[in-house]
Amino acid sequence: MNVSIALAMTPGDDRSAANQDLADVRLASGGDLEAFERLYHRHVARVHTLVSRMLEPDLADEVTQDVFVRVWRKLGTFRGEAAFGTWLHRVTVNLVLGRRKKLGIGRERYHHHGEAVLEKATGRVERPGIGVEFEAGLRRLPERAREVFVLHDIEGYKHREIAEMLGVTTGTTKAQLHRARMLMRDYVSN
Amino acid sequence: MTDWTERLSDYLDDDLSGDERARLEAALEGDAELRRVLDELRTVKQEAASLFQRAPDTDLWTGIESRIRGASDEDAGVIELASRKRRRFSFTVPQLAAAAVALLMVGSVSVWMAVGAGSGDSAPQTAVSAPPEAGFVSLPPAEGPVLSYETAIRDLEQQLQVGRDRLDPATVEALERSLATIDRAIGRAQEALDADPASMYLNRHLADARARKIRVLQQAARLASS
Repeated sequence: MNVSIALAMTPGDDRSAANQDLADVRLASGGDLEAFERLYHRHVARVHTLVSRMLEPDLADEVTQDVFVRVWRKLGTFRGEAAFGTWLHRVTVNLVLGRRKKLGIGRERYHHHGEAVLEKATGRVERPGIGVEFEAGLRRLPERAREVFVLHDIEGYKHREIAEMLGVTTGTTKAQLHRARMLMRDYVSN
Repeated sequence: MTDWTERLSDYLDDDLSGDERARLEAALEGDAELRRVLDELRTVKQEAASLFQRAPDTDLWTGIESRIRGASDEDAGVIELASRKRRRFSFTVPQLAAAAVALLMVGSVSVWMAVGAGSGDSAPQTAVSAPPEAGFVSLPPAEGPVLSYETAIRDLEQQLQVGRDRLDPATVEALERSLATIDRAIGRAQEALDADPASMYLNRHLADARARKIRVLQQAARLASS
């Protein structure tokens, strides 16, 4: 199992990575697949992690491939106004949300009498490791609460951005975030 | 009466007005349970922010590259992986029989090409690439076509070697780069196939990569002999 740990980066590291991305995006836009492969290797962990947190883990490989194929086809529309990683991330989120809609992912098993409940899954975690229990709890959140929690608390999006992506109000995203945190709190403390 | 528990996330995210914040802090002063919930929510938020990223267990690049090249080679839309997976389980016996016939035909073409090219009286540009439709056959690569492929590659490489001096250095460099890329793709596909020999998708990818190598060598041999 490969675990890529995000090390503390200095602003200089950020700039260097962004410059490498930009150079490779230019090459890849011209058809250079090796440059695109470098972009893939630099960003695949983030994309795959996001996808597996927002969808079922067994869809993560397939959807990650979809993301990079789509990005390849859309490279010409990348204007460089934001960092490539930011743009890629947004493409990923949009694709994941679209896929969720298409699949009509339902989580009825997590609802009881109209109220979301979180399964107490103690003993179900098979793989020990940092954050694994937390990730297990995350997967048991109701669909919309999980989306908002992942986008806000893990990925760092603002409520305004999440509301725009999901087509809801910021009041709704705030309510869902609080709901998710309360459920995660129950899970973590139990 | 305000249920301050419902406002704790807004408090953590600094989303309360000054007045609300002051009132909530006053409530926190006298409510140990509220403070405990706040601490737990803070822990959840901090833990979420510190989660690791996890790279996929398997290399997904081979599949991505194949789909990209497939789309550009065939000038067709991307084939959804999901639909490929569904197709994997939807072959009927007649379909499998037809696929086997297609595989035999591809093998025959390869053998014919190898023999023809080896005889010395065949032009280097003899068509050898397998029809893309035939590449989806999920059977393990048969020994015959593999040998034919190796023979074809060797023959084309020999032809290229003879006329190599007629090519300008920039062309040679570009050619070597392309071939190195394709060889890497072939190597990765072969490795993946060793682990999953029955994979229809990997078989197709390997067939595509080999066909690409033959096309590139054909073009180069044509240039070198002109």
